[in-house]
Amino acid sequence: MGGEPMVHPVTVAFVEDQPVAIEGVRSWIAADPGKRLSLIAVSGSVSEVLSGPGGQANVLLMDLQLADDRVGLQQEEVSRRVADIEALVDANRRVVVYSQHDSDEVIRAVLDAGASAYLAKREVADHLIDAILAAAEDRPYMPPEMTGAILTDDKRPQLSDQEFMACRLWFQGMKKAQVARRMGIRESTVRQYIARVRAKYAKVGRPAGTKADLLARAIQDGLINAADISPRS
Amino acid sequence: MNVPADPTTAATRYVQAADRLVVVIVATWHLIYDPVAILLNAALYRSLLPQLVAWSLLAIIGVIGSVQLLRTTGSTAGRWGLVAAAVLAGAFSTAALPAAQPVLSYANWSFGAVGWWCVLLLIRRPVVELGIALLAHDTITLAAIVATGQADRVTLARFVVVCFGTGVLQLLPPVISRLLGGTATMAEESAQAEARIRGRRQASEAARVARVRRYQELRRSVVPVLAGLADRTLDPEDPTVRDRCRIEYARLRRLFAESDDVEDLFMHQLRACADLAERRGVVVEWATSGRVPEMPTRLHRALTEAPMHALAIAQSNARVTVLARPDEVAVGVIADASSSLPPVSIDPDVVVSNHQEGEQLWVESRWCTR
Repeated sequence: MGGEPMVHPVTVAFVEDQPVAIEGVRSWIAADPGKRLSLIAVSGSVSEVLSGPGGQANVLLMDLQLADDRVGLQQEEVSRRVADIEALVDANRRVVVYSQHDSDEVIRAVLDAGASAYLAKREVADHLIDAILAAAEDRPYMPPEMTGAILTDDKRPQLSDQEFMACRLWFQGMKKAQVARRMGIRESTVRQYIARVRAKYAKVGRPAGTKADLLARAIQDGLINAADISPRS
Repeated sequence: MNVPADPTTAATRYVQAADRLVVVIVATWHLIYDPVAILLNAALYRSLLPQLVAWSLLAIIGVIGSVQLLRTTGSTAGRWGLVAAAVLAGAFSTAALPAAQPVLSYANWSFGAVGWWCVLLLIRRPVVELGIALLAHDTITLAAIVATGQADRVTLARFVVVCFGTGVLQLLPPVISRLLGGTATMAEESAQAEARIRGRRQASEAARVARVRRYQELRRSVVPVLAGLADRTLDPEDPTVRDRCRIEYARLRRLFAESDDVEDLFMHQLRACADLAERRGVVVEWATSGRVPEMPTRLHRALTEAPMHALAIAQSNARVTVLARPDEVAVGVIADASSSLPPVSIDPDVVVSNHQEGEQLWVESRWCTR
């Protein structure tokens, strides 16, 4: 794909069983002025989605909570869903996850499995389209909740003070332009800092194809250099 | 074993001192007194070999018993087995004396020695067990006296005197050990009880001081507002006065929350700061990441102060975030509010920042030890 103008929209398969959520995502995708996304399959189960036209989708969008667990996501349910994501990632699929379960542990487990991005439910309206587009191109995308979970992860890579501060303000809810004004730097630099933190985080934990692709893309784009991701001595 | 296992208590130290004393007595006895007795009387024995065997057996038993005592290892059954072995070694040595040799003589060195082995092996057992062991040993010696036809009145009288004298001496170490240990335990318990009472008194005093200090702080901030409203020097129509009232309300709420017994006291206090805002209909969104480390109330207050201000004056929505790492806690609030009273840091360890852009106010209080 790369940076050429998008002639064909990015195709999306959606694993979700709640009609309201499906309607919401459908309308957000339809409302995108560039019509950059096309929803080609929706189902409540991963296997159903993949067996139909969804098997060819560029990106899989997935709700972490499904019908069999209304009362709350239990630990084993999380493990099961994370195992699903791992299997999908290992089958070379791009997965974007959203959930109302925004604990640090769940977010980190999802990212460790190799998901491209994690969105808290309340972030979906603002970040869904961009997160899916970025995932299709192996570019880093980081909504605020995911940023917080990465900043407080003991295993996170070393960050510069500037990178940490940009991410902190972003997590607190500032717009990137506000972060830039607050820090006295350009907005593009803020974007770069945040994207770089996401890219560096891709080398943490379980190795996965999506993570390697994300890192390769980040190096290609000049976001990080190879020295940034060599093992720490 | 009826001895406290904690090696740090005074009782344990006394008991261990008694143990060491007995080990020293047995070692000295066996390395100096016994060899001298055997060598000086070497000519009297029919053969030197049984004496050397008995001496060696007692040496082995002495080493095992000493190690077990000092390391507080070994079982009761094992200990009694060693007692039996020591008593039999003594009997063997006595039996090997020439028939004409008086049992109560310097040549029968084992008679005086074996009792100390019993002390070594049984000092941590009830005293009556040591009494039984000593009695058994004395009985065997008495049997030897009778068997060799030496049981005349003088010998028997000497035997009784010797048994009584050494018996009393040998029963002393365990008795003293127990007395000292018991007394020390009692002293320790009463010292601990006293410390507990003292601790409670200090805690309640500290709580009282903290309460007085809090009320003094409130008097500085809340009372002027209330007094101003009462004497009409403050106008309730004035937006600044309203902001002050909201902040003081939040301060009171936070104060009440400080003494609540909850799992996450910091978040509890922060929620208390948002309480009035939420009651006013402000939509408060929360995002927390990481675990807030243990920290003193002073830092809780300093970290919640600026967010409390921002929440008190928020108009319709606010996002409160907590980003916590072991060495850093950052509390951020973004709200639609104009800060008429810019928040300031109340603690040198907490940095407060604020940033106003149009109607949007961002404040952050941050504690960082890096």
